[in-house]
Amino acid sequence: MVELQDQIKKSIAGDLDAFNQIILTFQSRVYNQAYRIIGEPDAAADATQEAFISAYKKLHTYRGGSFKSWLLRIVSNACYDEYRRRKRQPTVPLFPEGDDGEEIDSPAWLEDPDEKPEEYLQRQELSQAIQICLNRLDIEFRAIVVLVDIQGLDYASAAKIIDSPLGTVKSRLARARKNLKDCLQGFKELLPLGLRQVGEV
Amino acid sequence: MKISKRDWTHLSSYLDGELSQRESQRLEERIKKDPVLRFALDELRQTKKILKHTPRLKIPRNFTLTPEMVGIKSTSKAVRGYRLAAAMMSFLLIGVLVLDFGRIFIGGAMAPAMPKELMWEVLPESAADTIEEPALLAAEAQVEVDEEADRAVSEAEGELFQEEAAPAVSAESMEEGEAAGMDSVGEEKSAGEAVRELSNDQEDSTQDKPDEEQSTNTQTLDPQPTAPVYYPEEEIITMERTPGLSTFRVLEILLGVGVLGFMFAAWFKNRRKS
Repeated sequence: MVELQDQIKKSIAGDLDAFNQIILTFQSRVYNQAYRIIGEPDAAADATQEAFISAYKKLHTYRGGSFKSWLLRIVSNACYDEYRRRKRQPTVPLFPEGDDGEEIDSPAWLEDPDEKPEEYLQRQELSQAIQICLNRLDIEFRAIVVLVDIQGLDYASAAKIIDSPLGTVKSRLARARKNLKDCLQGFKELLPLGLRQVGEV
Repeated sequence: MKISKRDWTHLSSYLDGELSQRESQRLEERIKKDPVLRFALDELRQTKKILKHTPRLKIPRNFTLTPEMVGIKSTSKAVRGYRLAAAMMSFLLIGVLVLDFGRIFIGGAMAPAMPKELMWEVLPESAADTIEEPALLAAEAQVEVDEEADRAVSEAEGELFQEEAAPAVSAESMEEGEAAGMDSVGEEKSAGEAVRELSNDQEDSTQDKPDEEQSTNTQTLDPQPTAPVYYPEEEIITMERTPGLSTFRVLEILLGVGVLGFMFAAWFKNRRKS
């Protein structure tokens, strides 16, 4: 924590190397946040890059508190912008396509050399199922559920990030969870055994 | 029984511990009694659990920033060195210029380089005033003398007109006067010639040899003052200009060329890099 504050101070003073250290610490979380909100890897990468550029330029506005929340707020805004931009332009496939237009089953960025094939397959299926269900939500509901259920933030932090009252966060989250519950029931067979109890009384 | 939106919100918040103690107790009582609510709560809990296990994707690349991305123009050490050298030489050039001009103004080296008419501008204002004053007085005196001469001419013209009114008498007197003063027997003079001659005499008398009458007229005028020479040419301190370039000039040229050279080198290096 002390190290992070030190890096922030150096970055504010114009030390780009110090800010790059911060990026290396947060880039995975930020990219995942962007990917789950936008649902497209290329757009998520663009939004992530834009978010870090924006964060570097706005770093002087950071007034202490949770740096992660401050950063995720910038990422969320970058995602909204990127999402709207992509919506105006031709759609990009949810999963990467090969030269023949067929979906690539194992994109390079999902590969893990230490993972067993079954585990990898299971992880990929779960990831796809969740993403498909997330994509069916409006972006405002998607952002809330990603912040609270995937990133693990509390309601107050989420409310700050999306710049909305606590009541809005509660109602949007409840509605998003309900829709996701209904959606995920359709992918029950794809879910790991420990998570297949949805809908079973 | 259908679950209301409000109940869904309460169930969701209850899962996250975001309900107040009183709201939580009331909801727990309802859940115990209502299997539908209990079932909904289990579903939400399971959904939350699935989302919590969402696999974290590997990043496709690093998102570290480069100076260009954030609009920082990176300059090489050589460019920075050139710029520093150019800046230092600029300061030196300014210093040398200040010294050079100081030396010129203190030493008065500008004097011989200026035409005489411009010398007035170089003199201090008070000195210029004192020099201009006698010249002004002289000019005024000259104007007065001219006015007197005009007055005498007009008087002579008046007399001539009187003579025309009595031609016989005037012709005789004229001849007598001429016979007495000049050697002009048998020569007839017109009235115009007489006037011209008279005025010439008048002018001569005021300039060269004033007779008694003229002297009385001119006694009222001030003697024509002569403008004093405040800065005689021989007294003006002048610095002789040595032919060729002075040390200061050479320094100024060298430093100027150096500044331009280093600035060009920095610009060229920067451009090649980009």
